[in-house]
Amino acid sequence: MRFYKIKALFKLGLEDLLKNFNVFIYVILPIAFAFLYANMGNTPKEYLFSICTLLTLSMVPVALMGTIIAEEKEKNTLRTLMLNDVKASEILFAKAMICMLFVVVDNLLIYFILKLPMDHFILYQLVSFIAGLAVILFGAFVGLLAKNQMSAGLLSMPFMILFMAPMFIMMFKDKLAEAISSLLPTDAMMEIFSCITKNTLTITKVGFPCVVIIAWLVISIILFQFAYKKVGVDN
Amino acid sequence: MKNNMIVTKDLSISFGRKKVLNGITFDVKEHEIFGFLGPSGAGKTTTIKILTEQLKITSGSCEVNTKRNEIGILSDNSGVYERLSVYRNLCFFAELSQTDKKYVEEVLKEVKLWDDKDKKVENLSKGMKQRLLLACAIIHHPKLLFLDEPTAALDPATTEEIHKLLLKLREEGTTIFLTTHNMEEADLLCDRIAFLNKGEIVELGTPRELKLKYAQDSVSIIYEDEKEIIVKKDTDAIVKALQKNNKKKIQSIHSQEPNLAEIFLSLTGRELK
Repeated sequence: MRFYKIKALFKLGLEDLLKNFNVFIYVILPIAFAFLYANMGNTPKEYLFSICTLLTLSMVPVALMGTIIAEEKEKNTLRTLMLNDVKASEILFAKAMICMLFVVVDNLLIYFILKLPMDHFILYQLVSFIAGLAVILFGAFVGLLAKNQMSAGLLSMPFMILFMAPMFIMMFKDKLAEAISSLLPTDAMMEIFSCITKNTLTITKVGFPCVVIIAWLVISIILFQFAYKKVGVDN
Repeated sequence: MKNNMIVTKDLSISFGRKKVLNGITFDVKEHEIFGFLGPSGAGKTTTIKILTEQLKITSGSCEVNTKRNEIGILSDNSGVYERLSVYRNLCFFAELSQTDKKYVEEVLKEVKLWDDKDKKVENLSKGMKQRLLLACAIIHHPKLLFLDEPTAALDPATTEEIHKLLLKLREEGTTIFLTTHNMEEADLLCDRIAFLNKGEIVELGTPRELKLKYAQDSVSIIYEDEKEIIVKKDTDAIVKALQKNNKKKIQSIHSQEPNLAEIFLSLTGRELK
């Protein structure tokens, strides 16, 4: 990977995104929900932070990442980049940096909007950042499979629902559903958040959620590489 | 002697059962403008895609003797960032190739877009956008430039500007691989041309060579009173005709050469559209 190319791609991508309100809405929505939830009665702030972070992770790395890559395809800039000696890894890294920047900004704002205590600030941010990394390549995968921004929206929907699933499953108290949910990276993130809040952060407690997050990261890398090769060569 | 920038041998590609290119062989010399001419669907864009590694060949071989970062490409599906300005887009492509930003101004002036540098790309006309795409393709001073119908659907003034720029680039040492179905453009710009029809090269040579090869065996004599006499391309016949009308003033004497479109038509029975 060549840093000067990543730097150029990052700067331009950020500038372009800030001028595209249709896509920027994905960044704003979780913050808007945080404002809404901040005034909700007795619900624990840590739980609300989990929910808002889960929304961020479903929208920014998946839908936003998918849509900005799909737009590059739709407007032929992705092909132009490829023909300008830009590698898959460089495009991916720059787009991922942009999305992860907004994941961090969103989570920081959500943290301060919900007025959480500063005791575990760094741990919360670190865990949500790592969980974001685990799902971001699904956004890239969606972007490469989608023909345009509209189809990226449609394709990212199942992933968004999947990653938001822990939020709904915890309401049903169903053992099987909970077991399946525990295999999701967002559920793993919420589990680690819960351990942080309860001060029970031990290897036995967070070992499995950590393995789940790493597994999703590996799967997403494989899927992205497959999709990039398919797009990069016409036949 | 000039080196070969591109060499292909028996190049073939099929999409499913359809053979799009069928054993084409040609070479492109350094510092020349090589025209690849043919009607729509003849395989011109496919050839560019193969040479720029966007497509894999079915059989044969092709060799491009320059580094990937020394190639510039302008195709019908090149894209730029529409929400950003002309200047910002070109700066981005300069940054990608580590080209000094001082060339951005120079190139924008060359493509006559300096006065519109702050305009958003989405507000540009088709001709202006095409000039920006060309600027993006040449900002890093490529040794080899692929141009896929660069002047298609452009107005004559813009076309002329682009022609001037391409000739200047050739003078500066850029090798240009140009696909077009505009015969006048090919005649004006290209050092050598290849006629492509149904995936096969049916003729290859300089425009002059091809015109002479397919020239009719006759000479046209035009007198000042606009009377035209066609005689056989034979010294005796020409002298005889001139003697017969020796009191009239001659406006021109020239051999009857076909234009490139007529040659293509006679070779394939197809028009270049």
